[in-house]
Amino acid sequence: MHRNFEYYIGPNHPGIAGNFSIKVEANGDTVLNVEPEFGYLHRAFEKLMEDNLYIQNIAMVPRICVPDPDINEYCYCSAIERIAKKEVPERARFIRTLVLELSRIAAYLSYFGGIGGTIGLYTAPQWSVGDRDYILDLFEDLTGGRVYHIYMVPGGVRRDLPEGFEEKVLKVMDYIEERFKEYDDLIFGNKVFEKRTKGVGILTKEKAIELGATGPVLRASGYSYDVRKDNPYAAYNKVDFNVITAEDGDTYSRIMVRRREIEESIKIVRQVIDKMPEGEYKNQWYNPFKFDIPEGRVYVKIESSKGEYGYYFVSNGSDKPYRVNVRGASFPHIVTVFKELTKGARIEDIALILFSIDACPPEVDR
Amino acid sequence: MKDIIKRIKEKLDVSELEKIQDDEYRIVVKLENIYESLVLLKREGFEHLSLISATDWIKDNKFELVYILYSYKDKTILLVSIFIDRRIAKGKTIKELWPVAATYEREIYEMFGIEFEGNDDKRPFILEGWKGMPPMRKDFDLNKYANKKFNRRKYA
Repeated sequence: MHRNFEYYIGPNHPGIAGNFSIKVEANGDTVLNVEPEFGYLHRAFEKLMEDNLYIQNIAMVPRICVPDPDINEYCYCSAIERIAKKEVPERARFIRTLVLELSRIAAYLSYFGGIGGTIGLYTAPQWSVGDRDYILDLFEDLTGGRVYHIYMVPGGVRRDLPEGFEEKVLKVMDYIEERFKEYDDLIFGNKVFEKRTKGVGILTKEKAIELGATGPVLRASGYSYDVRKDNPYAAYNKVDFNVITAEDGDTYSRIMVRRREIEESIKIVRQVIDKMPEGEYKNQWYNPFKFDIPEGRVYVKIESSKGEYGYYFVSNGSDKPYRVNVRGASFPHIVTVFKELTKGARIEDIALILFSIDACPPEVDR
Repeated sequence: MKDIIKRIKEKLDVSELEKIQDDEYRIVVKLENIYESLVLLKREGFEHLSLISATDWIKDNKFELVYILYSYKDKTILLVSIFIDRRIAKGKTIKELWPVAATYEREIYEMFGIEFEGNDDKRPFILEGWKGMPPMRKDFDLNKYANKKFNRRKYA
């Protein structure tokens, strides 16, 4: 008979993606309950947005999520366009799709690095962070920024594709595709990886829907739902790709769904470049310092690398947004799904389970 | 208009219906009916709660609570709004319907000071040792607070 113990993990811990802490109640090494605690990354973005002009916020929103920042730019710009009822040129829609998919690949690469780190395969983070840099190089070429791009603006994108950019993208895609054969040998086919992840932290389909899981977590439980397919935005209705699902709902499925999704993302990038239309890249109907946005409200949602990401946007007709509420994909994942998955798990699996749902605390704190 | 929206209009006491986009609608219901309305909507296929959001309409002396729902079956987003009196600032909890709602309500209580009947979770969520007016209310002055809280840095 063991006594129950309470452990405090975080706020800085190699097994945690970002700054937040977990109170763990355990008996022996069996977890009885976890209580996540937030607030370490609160920067009051939502309040600041209400005080800033529309144009000032464009440089601020990508900072909400570090590994996958472009989703914020897209949601913010799309919300303004939809309230103002303005069209985006076809070419800009394709460029945005390209940027979003490159960002997804970069986010997944750093995700695989995290997975490798938590189970002791330390070559994985070295490789994936190095390969991610090739995508950051592309972003630097396109936007001037490596991590935060501040590239999308209401009405389109800031500037056109530079000369020879398409060839560079295709070259990097070929490289990453080739590289994933080695990743399969190193990580995904590794016996240690399989032993640590199979059957750990199982989430059934019914439970996933009840708890509000979205994105790869939901798809790994066998439910085929992808915002890109079901409520298409940008140019996703013009490209052909598969929605990847898995049946088991365990940690292994959640990781492998992302592993196979990276192939679909590469497919999308190739199609986007192949079908890239000629024409304008921006429709600037506004004066940058005084946006003329009518009253209205809209909920914009997109598929981020972590799940459904959304902005609830309210305008009252002034030159500042009246209310912006960010729906982080990780919010239900950390708050409810994580609690469910760790019930009865072992202490050493906490970090792995947390990584498998790709928890991003800045999306919760904002 | 989609069939599902027509059905909702017949079954619910809807005071306002707005089409935002082909797959996005907004309805306004009464505060006292919110729980029953959401039970019915959940049964009609709106299984997914994306977000609970609050807006402070200080000029009308009202808070607006928005429940953003999604139907996997009809691929439709539905925004369900209720308006509550700003001075009373009391809503009803829906944590029995969606477990994640308890935490959204906890956040709204902290940021707007809106209480939810039936949800007693008033532990601090993001802010630490916060006293005074909830910060997301419109009459909270950000600059005034910052000037009081932080020392102005002097540059040579």
